Amino acid sequence: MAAHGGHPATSLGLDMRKLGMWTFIGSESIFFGTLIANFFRWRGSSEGGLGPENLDINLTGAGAFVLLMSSLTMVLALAAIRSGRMKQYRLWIGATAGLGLIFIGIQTLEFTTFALEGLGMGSSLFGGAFFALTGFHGLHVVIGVIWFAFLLIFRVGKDIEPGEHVSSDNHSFVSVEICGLYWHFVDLVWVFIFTLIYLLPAV
Amino acid sequence: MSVESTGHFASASEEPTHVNPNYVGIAAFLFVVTILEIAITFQSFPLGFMTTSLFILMFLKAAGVILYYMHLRYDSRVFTYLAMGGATVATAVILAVAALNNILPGQ
Repeated sequence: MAAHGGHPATSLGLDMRKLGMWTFIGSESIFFGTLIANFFRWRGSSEGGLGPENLDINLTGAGAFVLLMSSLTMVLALAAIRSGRMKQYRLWIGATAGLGLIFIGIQTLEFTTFALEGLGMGSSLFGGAFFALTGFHGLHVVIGVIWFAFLLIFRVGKDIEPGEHVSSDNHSFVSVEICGLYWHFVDLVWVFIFTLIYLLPAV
Repeated sequence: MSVESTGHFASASEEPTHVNPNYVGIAAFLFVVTILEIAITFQSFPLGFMTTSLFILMFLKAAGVILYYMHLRYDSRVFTYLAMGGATVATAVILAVAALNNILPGQ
């Protein structure tokens, strides 16, 4: 059965790409869970250098707001493409990519500050665990921004007429939806990192 | 801005039922919870209260994102099982490492 614009549905009637993305999200949860566990194990091993108490809550709090707002713009993009508001769809995707870039800028600033103060991947076990966790998250943000760029460059949704209300199994809609799922997952990971890595050591 | 036309669905084969989550309202909720989290961190409440509060607020935010932004509330249960399966293993790994090393978050 080719129910999704060339992408056959599974025997459960689900879109294969969505099923694949949710499977990926499940496995990524384990990946980040392991990195968080690794951080807990080594966070006390700062070896006289910078430690968890030196993490900048204000800066990363700003990053948390930026990512939360990017999740909003992402769902607004999905809502727009669903109802054929293509100009708004492109605008919201662009805004989401822009917010992702701002987050990367904030993280670059944080990493640079730490590097100038002597904290690096190899300076201590704390440094290694911290940069592995936040660095991999940052890499996921970069991949998300590249994905948004692809959506815009390859004009995903060009088959949808302005004002056309598309069904939930429309090929372009699902393409944007799975990109959104990925992006919300990246935001979700930061929800956990922000509390567990930045806020809890400060209390 | 209208997001009223955003429908959600119980499975990929069904047409939208036009449940209308208030995306901006959810974002405002997540914003307020984040403010609360940061505010709590700078107070001098008992450690147990602060740690518990931060955990509750963290899970509230996560639930908001998963249920309404990732649409898991409206989507197939299969996706819920996949997500929860991964989250369960991740939580088990964190708890196991914490237990093996006598480490608890907030200590």
